[in-house]
Amino acid sequence: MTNHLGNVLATVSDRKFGVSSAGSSLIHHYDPHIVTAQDYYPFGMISRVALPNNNVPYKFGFNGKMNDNEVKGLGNQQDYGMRISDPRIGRFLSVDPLTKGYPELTPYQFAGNSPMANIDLDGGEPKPAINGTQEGQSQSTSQDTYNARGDYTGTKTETWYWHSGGLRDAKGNLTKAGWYGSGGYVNVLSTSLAAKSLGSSLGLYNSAAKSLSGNEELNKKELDRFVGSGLNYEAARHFTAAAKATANSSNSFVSGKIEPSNFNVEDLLGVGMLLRGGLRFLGGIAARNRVMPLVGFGSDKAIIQNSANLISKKGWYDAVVHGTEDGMAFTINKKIVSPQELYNHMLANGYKPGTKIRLMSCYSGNFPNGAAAQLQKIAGVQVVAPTGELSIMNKGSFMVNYGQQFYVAPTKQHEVGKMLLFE
Amino acid sequence: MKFVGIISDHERGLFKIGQPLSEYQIQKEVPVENLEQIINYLENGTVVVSFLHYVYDKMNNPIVPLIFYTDGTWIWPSYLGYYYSKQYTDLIPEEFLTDMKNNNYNPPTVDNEKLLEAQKLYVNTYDPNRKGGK
Repeated sequence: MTNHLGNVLATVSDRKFGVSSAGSSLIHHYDPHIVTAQDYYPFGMISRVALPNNNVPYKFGFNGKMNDNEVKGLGNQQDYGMRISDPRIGRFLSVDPLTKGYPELTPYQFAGNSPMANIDLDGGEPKPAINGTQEGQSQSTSQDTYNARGDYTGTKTETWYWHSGGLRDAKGNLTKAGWYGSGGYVNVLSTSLAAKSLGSSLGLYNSAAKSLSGNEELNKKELDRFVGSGLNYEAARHFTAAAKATANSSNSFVSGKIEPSNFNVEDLLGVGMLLRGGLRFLGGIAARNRVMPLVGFGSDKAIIQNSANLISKKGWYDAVVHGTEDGMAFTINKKIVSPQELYNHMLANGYKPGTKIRLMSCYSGNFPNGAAAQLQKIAGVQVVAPTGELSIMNKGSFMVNYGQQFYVAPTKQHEVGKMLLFE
Repeated sequence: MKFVGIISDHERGLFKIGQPLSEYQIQKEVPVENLEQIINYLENGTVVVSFLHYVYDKMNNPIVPLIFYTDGTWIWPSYLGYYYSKQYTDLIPEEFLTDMKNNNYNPPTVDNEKLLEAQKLYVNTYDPNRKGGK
């Protein structure tokens, strides 16, 4: 039995002891057969220990790593794979192989010197140990770096992404929750049926692969379940890459070519790839100009396609969401949502108060007191919204019906014309 | 290319060529043949234009986002499958059903040229003065 750091606290066997209540011959409850039990100081030195009669301790201990008990006695030396640690001094015995990347840390440090929050990954680098709460939540395990004179030289980060787990794959297995590096995060998402569904929504499959994509309805359900009322930026970014990876692997499988380059995660994560092929969706992509992320609320075809077509604009936050016919509210995943609720959703999806809003939602700008006007009052910023039905066409232009005609506006002129400005 | 299955109750925009739902008959007696395959066909056409607008039925239940699909020959709205499954069978003409069958209930891929043609047709087929019918 382990705690959040993977520290082995107790080992039990499959035996159990029946305990009768006083005077009765019937078994009242069972006690477990505890084989070993131990507790640790922060850096892993043993504070208390109980050993079985044969005095043979359990092989694994602090951080779930193997003890080298033969060297210095029980629990006093541990093998982390790359290096050996002595938990009594809280240091490794040799220089960190990654020490060049962490000049602020002593080369002998253990788990970034934060043994409660981190575990040490194979003696190489720290990794967060406390579970995340939100899909795509990121956490970094490094600090600012300084040169020899003490000047700030930048921040060296190792970023981890939390995956909440529970996504079904084609064999019915569920993905494992945990902290993943960027590439690992893409890999774990790409096994899911949800990624498959996203890929087919985005039209990433060739026709031969399409027929092999299995039960589309089930996949779609998985996608809806995963996306829910929206993903955060990091989750969406990795998820799109995962969809692309999944589609690539299927497509090449069908054509008979399996090339490892199709799985090159670094390529997929490159901004170029994310910007191409309609992969800008949901969390959108803000990387090129550090523009505000666009966020699609929902996961249906229309949201995905419109979000994918939209070209984000510097200084504006794009909320892509279905409107209602009365122009007073929104529809997110078949539920009617008020402007205040939408605003809360936006805050949860990367909206920074004070940022101007492009409200991509039919009819939201149709009435002086309609949804856009209300959102403008709530947020206290400029809001641009369409007066009628809005479709974002495939080169990023807006098609809005207005007056007697459909008006197709070039993206850069969105402040004028048929997208109304509320301020 | 021809428009099919458009119901004027859902025309909030400029595009007004449909008939009111009340003018269509509900076929109560006969079970619809190949219903599942037809619905599948209707949901998997190539998207001509998709709107950030949800369609609600008379009871104010959400149906689908408003999307127009095409298979290169016909253009139909996303809510067509919903009403067809509610036995509004005369929304779909016999020729369209035959086309679906000939396509093995799998909408054919539409090339960019055809798609552009469909989009142009959609944009140019509004008429605020014509109400109900063609």
